[in-house]
Amino acid sequence: MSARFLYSPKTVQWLSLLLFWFPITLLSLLLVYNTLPYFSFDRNMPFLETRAALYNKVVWRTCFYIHIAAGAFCILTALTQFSSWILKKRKKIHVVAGKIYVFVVLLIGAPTGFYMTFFAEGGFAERACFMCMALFWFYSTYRGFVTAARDKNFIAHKFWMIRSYSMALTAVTFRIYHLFFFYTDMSHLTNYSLALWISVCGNALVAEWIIYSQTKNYFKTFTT
Amino acid sequence: MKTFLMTSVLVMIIAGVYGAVDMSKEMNQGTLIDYHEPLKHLPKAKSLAHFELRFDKRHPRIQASENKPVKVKSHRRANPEFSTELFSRGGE
Repeated sequence: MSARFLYSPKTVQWLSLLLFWFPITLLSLLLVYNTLPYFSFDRNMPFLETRAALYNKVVWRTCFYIHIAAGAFCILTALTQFSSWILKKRKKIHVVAGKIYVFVVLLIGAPTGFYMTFFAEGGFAERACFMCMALFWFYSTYRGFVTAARDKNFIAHKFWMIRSYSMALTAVTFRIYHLFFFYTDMSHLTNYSLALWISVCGNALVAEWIIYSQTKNYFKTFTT
Repeated sequence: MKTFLMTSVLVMIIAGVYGAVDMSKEMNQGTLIDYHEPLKHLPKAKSLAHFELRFDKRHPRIQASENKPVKVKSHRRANPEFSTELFSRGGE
Protein backbone atom coordinates (compact mmCIF):
# COMPACT_ATOMS: atom_id res chain seq x y z
CA MET A 1 0.00 0.00 0.00
CA SER A 2 1.61 3.26 -1.05
CA ALA A 3 1.92 6.26 1.22
CA ARG A 4 0.20 8.34 -1.44
CA PHE A 5 -2.91 6.19 -1.11
CA LEU A 6 -2.80 6.25 2.70
CA TYR A 7 -2.62 10.04 2.93
CA SER A 8 -5.01 10.85 0.11
CA PRO A 9 -7.94 13.03 1.23
CA LYS A 10 -10.41 10.32 0.24
CA THR A 11 -8.73 7.72 2.48
CA VAL A 12 -8.56 10.14 5.38
CA GLN A 13 -12.24 10.94 4.88
CA TRP A 14 -13.13 7.25 4.80
CA LEU A 15 -11.09 6.53 7.90
CA SER A 16 -12.60 9.41 9.85
CA LEU A 17 -16.10 8.30 8.84
CA LEU A 18 -15.28 4.77 9.94
CA LEU A 19 -13.88 5.98 13.26
CA PHE A 20 -17.01 8.03 13.85
CA TRP A 21 -19.68 5.56 12.70
CA PHE A 22 -18.22 2.23 13.74
CA PRO A 23 -18.42 2.83 17.54
CA ILE A 24 -21.80 4.54 17.16
CA THR A 25 -23.24 1.60 15.23
CA LEU A 26 -21.74 -0.96 17.56
CA LEU A 27 -22.88 0.77 20.74
CA SER A 28 -26.33 1.47 19.31
CA LEU A 29 -26.77 -2.21 18.51
CA LEU A 30 -25.51 -3.08 21.99
CA LEU A 31 -28.06 -0.71 23.51
CA VAL A 32 -30.88 -2.30 21.54
CA TYR A 33 -29.62 -5.74 22.53
CA ASN A 34 -29.58 -4.72 26.21
CA THR A 35 -33.20 -3.57 26.07
CA LEU A 36 -34.39 -6.98 24.89
CA PRO A 37 -34.50 -8.59 28.40
CA TYR A 38 -37.01 -5.94 29.46
CA PHE A 39 -39.54 -7.43 27.09
CA SER A 40 -39.77 -10.49 29.27
CA PHE A 41 -41.87 -8.09 31.39
CA ASP A 42 -40.06 -9.31 34.47
CA ARG A 43 -40.11 -6.68 37.22
CA ASN A 44 -36.96 -8.03 38.86
CA MET A 45 -34.66 -6.05 36.60
CA PRO A 46 -32.22 -3.72 38.43
CA PHE A 47 -33.57 -0.61 36.69
CA LEU A 48 -37.15 -1.49 37.56
CA GLU A 49 -36.43 -2.56 41.12
CA THR A 50 -35.28 0.94 42.01
CA ARG A 51 -38.58 2.19 40.62
CA ALA A 52 -40.85 -0.41 42.20
CA ALA A 53 -43.37 2.22 43.29
CA LEU A 54 -43.52 3.67 39.80
CA TYR A 55 -43.78 0.27 38.22
CA ASN A 56 -47.07 -0.29 40.02
CA LYS A 57 -48.53 2.68 38.14
CA VAL A 58 -50.12 1.40 34.94
CA VAL A 59 -49.45 4.62 33.01
CA TRP A 60 -45.76 4.75 33.91
CA ARG A 61 -45.29 1.05 33.21
CA THR A 62 -47.00 1.32 29.82
CA CYS A 63 -45.00 4.42 28.93
CA PHE A 64 -41.78 2.68 29.94
CA TYR A 65 -42.29 -0.35 27.69
CA ILE A 66 -43.53 1.77 24.79
CA HIS A 67 -40.61 4.17 25.23
CA ILE A 68 -37.88 1.51 25.15
CA ALA A 69 -39.48 -0.18 22.13
CA ALA A 70 -39.73 3.18 20.37
CA GLY A 71 -36.14 4.01 21.32
CA ALA A 72 -34.90 0.78 19.75
CA PHE A 73 -36.79 1.59 16.54
CA CYS A 74 -35.39 5.13 16.47
CA ILE A 75 -31.82 4.02 17.01
CA LEU A 76 -32.05 1.34 14.31
CA THR A 77 -33.80 3.44 11.68
CA ALA A 78 -31.58 6.46 12.28
CA LEU A 79 -28.44 4.44 11.57
CA THR A 80 -29.31 4.30 7.88
CA GLN A 81 -30.28 7.93 7.55
CA PHE A 82 -26.88 9.60 7.32
CA SER A 83 -25.46 7.35 4.61
CA SER A 84 -24.88 9.30 1.42
CA TRP A 85 -24.80 6.04 -0.52
CA ILE A 86 -28.34 5.13 0.60
CA LEU A 87 -29.48 8.68 -0.05
CA LYS A 88 -28.16 8.62 -3.62
CA LYS A 89 -28.68 5.01 -4.69
CA ARG A 90 -31.50 3.77 -2.46
CA LYS A 91 -33.55 6.84 -1.74
CA LYS A 92 -36.63 4.82 -0.91
CA ILE A 93 -34.87 3.28 2.12
CA HIS A 94 -34.08 6.79 3.37
CA VAL A 95 -37.65 7.95 2.88
CA VAL A 96 -39.28 4.90 4.49
CA ALA A 97 -36.86 4.71 7.43
CA GLY A 98 -37.18 8.48 7.89
CA LYS A 99 -40.97 8.27 8.02
CA ILE A 100 -40.78 5.49 10.60
CA TYR A 101 -38.30 7.55 12.65
CA VAL A 102 -40.48 10.68 12.54
CA PHE A 103 -43.66 8.75 13.35
CA VAL A 104 -42.03 6.91 16.24
CA VAL A 105 -40.39 10.02 17.72
CA LEU A 106 -43.30 12.45 17.38
CA LEU A 107 -46.14 10.16 18.37
CA ILE A 108 -44.54 7.60 20.65
CA GLY A 109 -40.94 8.14 21.82
CA ALA A 110 -40.96 11.82 22.75
CA PRO A 111 -44.40 11.96 24.46
CA THR A 112 -43.80 8.82 26.56
CA GLY A 113 -40.30 10.05 27.40
CA PHE A 114 -41.69 13.47 28.31
CA TYR A 115 -44.19 11.93 30.72
CA MET A 116 -41.46 9.83 32.33
CA THR A 117 -39.16 12.84 32.83
CA PHE A 118 -41.39 13.94 35.71
CA PHE A 119 -40.31 10.85 37.61
CA ALA A 120 -36.75 10.59 36.31
CA GLU A 121 -33.84 9.72 38.57
CA GLY A 122 -31.99 12.63 40.16
CA GLY A 123 -33.11 15.94 41.53
CA PHE A 124 -34.95 18.89 40.01
CA ALA A 125 -32.04 19.81 37.72
CA GLU A 126 -31.80 16.33 36.23
CA ARG A 127 -35.53 16.21 35.61
CA ALA A 128 -35.36 19.62 33.96
CA CYS A 129 -32.49 18.37 31.80
CA PHE A 130 -34.53 15.35 30.72
CA MET A 131 -37.50 17.59 29.97
CA CYS A 132 -35.44 19.95 27.82
CA MET A 133 -33.99 16.97 26.03
CA ALA A 134 -37.43 15.47 25.30
CA LEU A 135 -38.79 18.81 24.13
CA PHE A 136 -35.80 19.55 21.93
CA TRP A 137 -35.87 16.02 20.50
CA PHE A 138 -39.53 16.54 19.60
CA TYR A 139 -39.01 20.05 18.20
CA SER A 140 -35.95 19.18 16.09
CA THR A 141 -37.67 16.10 14.63
CA TYR A 142 -40.79 18.15 13.94
CA ARG A 143 -38.77 20.83 12.15
CA GLY A 144 -36.75 18.23 10.30
CA PHE A 145 -39.91 16.63 8.98
CA VAL A 146 -41.63 19.89 8.06
CA THR A 147 -38.59 21.28 6.21
CA ALA A 148 -38.43 18.15 4.04
CA ALA A 149 -42.08 17.26 3.51
CA ARG A 150 -43.61 20.71 3.26
CA ASP A 151 -40.85 23.22 2.46
CA LYS A 152 -38.63 20.90 0.37
CA ASN A 153 -35.63 22.58 1.99
CA PHE A 154 -33.36 19.57 2.27
CA ILE A 155 -30.36 21.44 3.67
CA ALA A 156 -32.39 22.68 6.62
CA HIS A 157 -33.88 19.18 6.90
CA LYS A 158 -30.38 17.71 7.23
CA PHE A 159 -29.38 20.17 9.95
CA TRP A 160 -32.55 19.63 11.99
CA MET A 161 -32.20 15.89 11.70
CA ILE A 162 -28.57 16.07 12.91
CA ARG A 163 -29.91 17.86 15.98
CA SER A 164 -32.64 15.28 16.42
CA TYR A 165 -30.24 12.38 16.10
CA SER A 166 -27.85 13.96 18.59
CA MET A 167 -30.65 13.88 21.15
CA ALA A 168 -31.57 10.28 20.30
CA LEU A 169 -27.94 9.29 20.75
CA THR A 170 -27.81 10.58 24.32
CA ALA A 171 -29.11 7.14 25.31
CA VAL A 172 -25.85 5.69 24.00
CA THR A 173 -23.40 8.36 25.17
CA PHE A 174 -24.97 8.53 28.62
CA ARG A 175 -24.09 4.88 29.23
CA ILE A 176 -20.51 5.39 28.10
CA TYR A 177 -19.99 8.28 30.54
CA HIS A 178 -21.85 6.43 33.28
CA LEU A 179 -19.53 3.45 32.98
CA PHE A 180 -16.48 5.70 32.74
CA PHE A 181 -17.36 7.60 35.92
CA PHE A 182 -18.07 4.33 37.69
CA TYR A 183 -14.31 3.78 37.89
CA THR A 184 -13.70 7.18 39.45
CA ASP A 185 -15.30 6.09 42.74
CA MET A 186 -18.04 8.70 42.51
CA SER A 187 -21.33 8.28 44.35
CA HIS A 188 -24.07 6.85 42.16
CA LEU A 189 -26.20 9.99 41.99
CA THR A 190 -23.27 12.30 41.23
CA ASN A 191 -22.15 9.91 38.53
CA TYR A 192 -25.69 9.78 37.14
CA SER A 193 -26.22 13.53 36.96
CA LEU A 194 -22.76 14.25 35.61
CA ALA A 195 -23.11 11.60 32.91
CA LEU A 196 -26.53 12.96 32.02
CA TRP A 197 -25.45 16.60 31.68
CA ILE A 198 -22.30 15.76 29.76
CA SER A 199 -24.12 13.46 27.37
CA VAL A 200 -26.91 15.95 26.61
CA CYS A 201 -24.71 19.06 26.38
CA GLY A 202 -21.86 17.19 24.70
CA ASN A 203 -24.08 15.69 22.00
CA ALA A 204 -25.76 19.04 21.37
CA LEU A 205 -22.36 20.75 21.05
CA VAL A 206 -21.04 18.10 18.65
CA ALA A 207 -24.19 18.46 16.53
CA GLU A 208 -23.85 22.25 16.46
CA TRP A 209 -20.17 21.98 15.58
CA ILE A 210 -20.98 19.66 12.64
CA ILE A 211 -23.68 22.06 11.43
CA TYR A 212 -21.39 25.06 11.92
CA SER A 213 -18.64 23.43 9.85
CA GLN A 214 -21.08 22.76 6.99
CA THR A 215 -22.75 26.13 6.68
CA LYS A 216 -21.76 29.71 6.00
CA ASN A 217 -24.63 31.31 7.86
CA TYR A 218 -24.88 29.30 11.05
CA PHE A 219 -27.55 31.33 12.85
CA LYS A 220 -29.88 31.07 9.87
CA THR A 221 -30.09 27.32 10.42
CA PHE A 222 -32.26 27.95 13.48
CA THR A 223 -34.85 29.96 11.58
CA THR A 224 -35.18 27.94 8.37
CA MET B 1 -49.58 15.73 7.15
CA LYS B 2 -51.21 18.59 9.00
CA THR B 3 -53.38 16.17 10.98
CA PHE B 4 -50.37 14.08 11.90
CA LEU B 5 -48.40 17.10 13.09
CA MET B 6 -51.33 18.48 15.04
CA THR B 7 -51.92 15.10 16.67
CA SER B 8 -48.27 14.78 17.67
CA VAL B 9 -48.26 18.26 19.25
CA LEU B 10 -51.48 17.41 21.07
CA VAL B 11 -50.08 14.11 22.36
CA MET B 12 -46.97 15.91 23.60
CA ILE B 13 -49.05 18.52 25.42
CA ILE B 14 -51.25 15.82 26.98
CA ALA B 15 -48.13 13.92 28.11
CA GLY B 16 -46.72 17.08 29.72
CA VAL B 17 -49.95 18.09 31.45
CA TYR B 18 -50.67 14.55 32.65
CA GLY B 19 -47.10 14.16 33.90
CA ALA B 20 -47.22 17.44 35.79
CA VAL B 21 -50.57 16.61 37.39
CA ASP B 22 -49.42 13.11 38.28
CA MET B 23 -46.21 14.40 39.83
CA SER B 24 -47.99 17.08 41.86
CA LYS B 25 -50.43 14.45 43.12
CA GLU B 26 -47.55 12.26 44.28
CA MET B 27 -45.84 15.24 45.89
CA ASN B 28 -48.98 16.12 47.82
CA GLN B 29 -49.35 12.53 48.99
CA GLY B 30 -45.65 12.36 49.83
CA THR B 31 -45.19 9.30 47.66
CA LEU B 32 -42.89 10.83 45.05
CA ILE B 33 -39.89 8.55 44.72
CA ASP B 34 -36.75 9.90 46.38
CA TYR B 35 -33.64 8.66 44.65
CA HIS B 36 -31.37 10.12 47.34
CA GLU B 37 -32.28 7.29 49.67
CA PRO B 38 -29.57 4.65 49.87
CA LEU B 39 -30.27 1.81 47.51
CA LYS B 40 -27.71 -0.60 48.92
CA HIS B 41 -30.25 -3.31 49.62
CA LEU B 42 -30.97 -3.65 45.93
CA PRO B 43 -29.06 -6.03 43.71
CA LYS B 44 -26.49 -4.40 41.49
CA ALA B 45 -26.57 -4.49 37.73
CA LYS B 46 -24.87 -7.60 36.49
CA SER B 47 -22.37 -5.68 34.40
CA LEU B 48 -21.24 -3.49 37.28
CA ALA B 49 -21.11 -6.43 39.69
CA HIS B 50 -18.76 -8.14 37.29
CA PHE B 51 -16.41 -5.15 37.22
CA GLU B 52 -16.53 -4.74 40.98
CA LEU B 53 -15.79 -8.40 41.53
CA ARG B 54 -12.60 -8.12 39.57
CA PHE B 55 -11.27 -5.66 42.14
CA ASP B 56 -12.80 -7.27 45.20
CA LYS B 57 -10.21 -8.53 47.69
CA ARG B 58 -12.40 -11.53 48.50
CA HIS B 59 -12.07 -12.73 44.92
CA PRO B 60 -10.24 -16.13 45.00
CA ARG B 61 -7.77 -15.12 42.30
CA ILE B 62 -6.80 -11.94 44.16
CA GLN B 63 -6.53 -13.88 47.44
CA ALA B 64 -4.31 -16.46 45.77
CA SER B 65 -2.00 -13.77 44.46
CA GLU B 66 -1.85 -12.15 47.93
CA ASN B 67 -0.99 -15.44 49.69
CA LYS B 68 1.73 -16.28 47.23
CA PRO B 69 5.13 -16.38 48.95
CA VAL B 70 7.21 -13.42 47.91
CA LYS B 71 10.64 -14.27 46.59
CA VAL B 72 13.26 -12.17 48.29
CA LYS B 73 16.14 -11.36 46.09
CA SER B 74 19.57 -12.00 47.55
CA HIS B 75 21.12 -8.81 48.73
CA ARG B 76 24.07 -7.46 46.90
CA ARG B 77 27.31 -7.58 48.69
CA ALA B 78 28.04 -4.31 50.36
CA ASN B 79 30.76 -2.25 48.85
CA PRO B 80 34.12 -3.00 50.49
CA GLU B 81 35.35 -0.35 52.78
CA PHE B 82 37.82 2.07 51.30
CA SER B 83 41.33 1.12 52.05
CA THR B 84 44.51 2.60 50.68
CA GLU B 85 45.98 -0.86 50.55
CA LEU B 86 43.72 -1.75 47.65
CA PHE B 87 45.36 0.95 45.58
CA SER B 88 48.94 0.39 46.63
CA ARG B 89 51.43 -0.01 43.79
CA GLY B 90 53.42 -2.76 45.29
CA GLY B 91 50.48 -4.77 46.59
CA GLU B 92 51.87 -4.72 50.07
